[in-house]
Amino acid sequence: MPRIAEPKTIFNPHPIKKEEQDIQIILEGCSKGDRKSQNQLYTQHYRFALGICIRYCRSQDEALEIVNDGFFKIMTNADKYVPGLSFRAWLRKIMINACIDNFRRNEKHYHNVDISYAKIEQLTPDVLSSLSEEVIVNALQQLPPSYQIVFNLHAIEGYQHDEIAQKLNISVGTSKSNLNVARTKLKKALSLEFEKKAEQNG
Amino acid sequence: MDDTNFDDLLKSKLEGYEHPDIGPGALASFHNRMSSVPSTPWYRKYRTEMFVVTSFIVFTMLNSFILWYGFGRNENYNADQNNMFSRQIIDSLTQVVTQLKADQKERPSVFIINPAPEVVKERNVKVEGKNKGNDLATNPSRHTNTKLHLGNVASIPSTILDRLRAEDVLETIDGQAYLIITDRVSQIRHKSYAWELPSKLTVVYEDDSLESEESIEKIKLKLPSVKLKNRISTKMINKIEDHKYTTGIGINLAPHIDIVKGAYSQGSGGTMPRVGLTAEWIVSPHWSVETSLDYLSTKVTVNKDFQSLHLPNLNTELGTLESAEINTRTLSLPINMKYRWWLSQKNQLIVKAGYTPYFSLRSEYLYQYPYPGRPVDSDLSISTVEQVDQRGFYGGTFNMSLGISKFIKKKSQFEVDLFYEKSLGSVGHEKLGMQLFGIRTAYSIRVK
Repeated sequence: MPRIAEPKTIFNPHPIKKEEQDIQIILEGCSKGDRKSQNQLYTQHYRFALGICIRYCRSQDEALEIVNDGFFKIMTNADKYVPGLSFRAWLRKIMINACIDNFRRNEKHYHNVDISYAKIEQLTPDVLSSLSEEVIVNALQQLPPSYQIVFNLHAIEGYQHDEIAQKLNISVGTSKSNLNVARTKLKKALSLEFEKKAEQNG
Repeated sequence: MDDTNFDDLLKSKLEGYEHPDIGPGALASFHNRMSSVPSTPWYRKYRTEMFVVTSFIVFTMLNSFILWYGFGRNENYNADQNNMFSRQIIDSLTQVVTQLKADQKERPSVFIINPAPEVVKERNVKVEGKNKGNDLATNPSRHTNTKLHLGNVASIPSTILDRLRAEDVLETIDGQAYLIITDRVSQIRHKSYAWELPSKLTVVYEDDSLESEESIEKIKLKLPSVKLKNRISTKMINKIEDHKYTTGIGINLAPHIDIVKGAYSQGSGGTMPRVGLTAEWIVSPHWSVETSLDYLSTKVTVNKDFQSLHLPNLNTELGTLESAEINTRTLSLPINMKYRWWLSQKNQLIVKAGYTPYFSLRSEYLYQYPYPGRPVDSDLSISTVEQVDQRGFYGGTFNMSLGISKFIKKKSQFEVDLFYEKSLGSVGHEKLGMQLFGIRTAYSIRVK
């Protein structure tokens, strides 16, 4: 009696979703230059894209410009999207790259701006959880651009320091020190926001 | 609060953050930006469809002309004119096919059968991949850590968790599950997208750096073929294939061998082999155009009513002809429209219909006369063989077939189909009605 091998099992935490298949239809239209498909793609994913880019910018106008840069890349390279892979992940990568490109273009124009320090650092996990996303984004926007981008790439996107150093043409040491400074400034900015909120609530 | 907790809290808040403000000016500024890119003119947008329709019309007109020519020819046709016409037909077919190939930009097509791996949000795990210098791609770095984040423990089936625990490769931290990459866990590829455990459990995740369609195809090949709970139905496969279709023409080449049985309006036909080479021009997920070059030696045996056959070089001195066997060597150039439909993960239903013009190369006539003075109960006979070079249009048939195609490897498939052909009018110098039916086996290789 031949031995029957145990069938192999594949565990896929994320089975294919219907919306990813719908995306392919829209991207097909975009690659053919169909304006309706382009508008549909833009309006469906604009808020997600802006939510990424605004963390890397000082103002919403600057973020909007980067968002449009990113969507322009998507529309003109829609045929490079690999069907079956997560479109959101692909979009995220394009937007982050657009933010990095924008940083490289404009870094010489950025000036360091000091921010006020809270009298006492009262930041705890509960305090942080109580703050809204908009408050955190505003605090991020107050950071100097070189600290802002390092913090976003490391803490939010998960890049390691050697990757960040390669992307931004800086040293690993600079990346690490910028991250530490960004954390310190961010913690104090968020503490300040919490103090203001506490004062308003009496 | 330590730095890791701080980062994690901010990440959890901001990773999926969507800005609440839609902004009416945003769409307007996007339109301004896109207006710098001219929209694709309609003749470029639909050039593949136009090429398909044009080629179909050209082939149909060409075959109609051949058919009209075949019907209208008389007995004393000029053999030289037919040879020239045959060459013109072959040249025109080759020219159209070459034009189609040259005008289509080669684009690989990606076809997914099994559910594709997607991104698993990993922590401290990097992926090694090729850097194609593409602005849209990140630059992945080396794999350094030994843990792969699988997701929330509650979202993972308990059977999977039990198997991972049994292999001692599972770690849970704060309700999150991690696969510990040990020596017993082997990577399927040098790119860190999938790992196989000794118990044959395979964990896969999406690798965004894999922008090469070729690498995606290789990944899918490496994944074992298993019955999955969430396996895609054939209906979905056909839908996905429709959605994933990209412009361009695919080409398959298929040597084939047929077993053909002939039936004629007079006499009886033999069973003959036919060999040839088929080129399949894939123009859509379900449709393709097939052209072929085949060699067949037909065989007809006639025992009566010889006068209507106009048999050449009969020797009346040998007496009354008893039987005649006519063998004709032919070349044929069938043109078919082919329709494919998925029946299962690897099998497709094939339906074909088209027209086949035949061209004769040489005919051989085997005549049998009664032996002089032969006894009544004897079958002694005298045989003579006449060979006649009859190069020219032999006749045309309408053909149809139904079969199954099975995918063996990524770029090859095996096809078996039953076919039937009926002559349009009479064929050959003998002007016989012809029907052919049989079975074909072909091994198809994807060229493009």
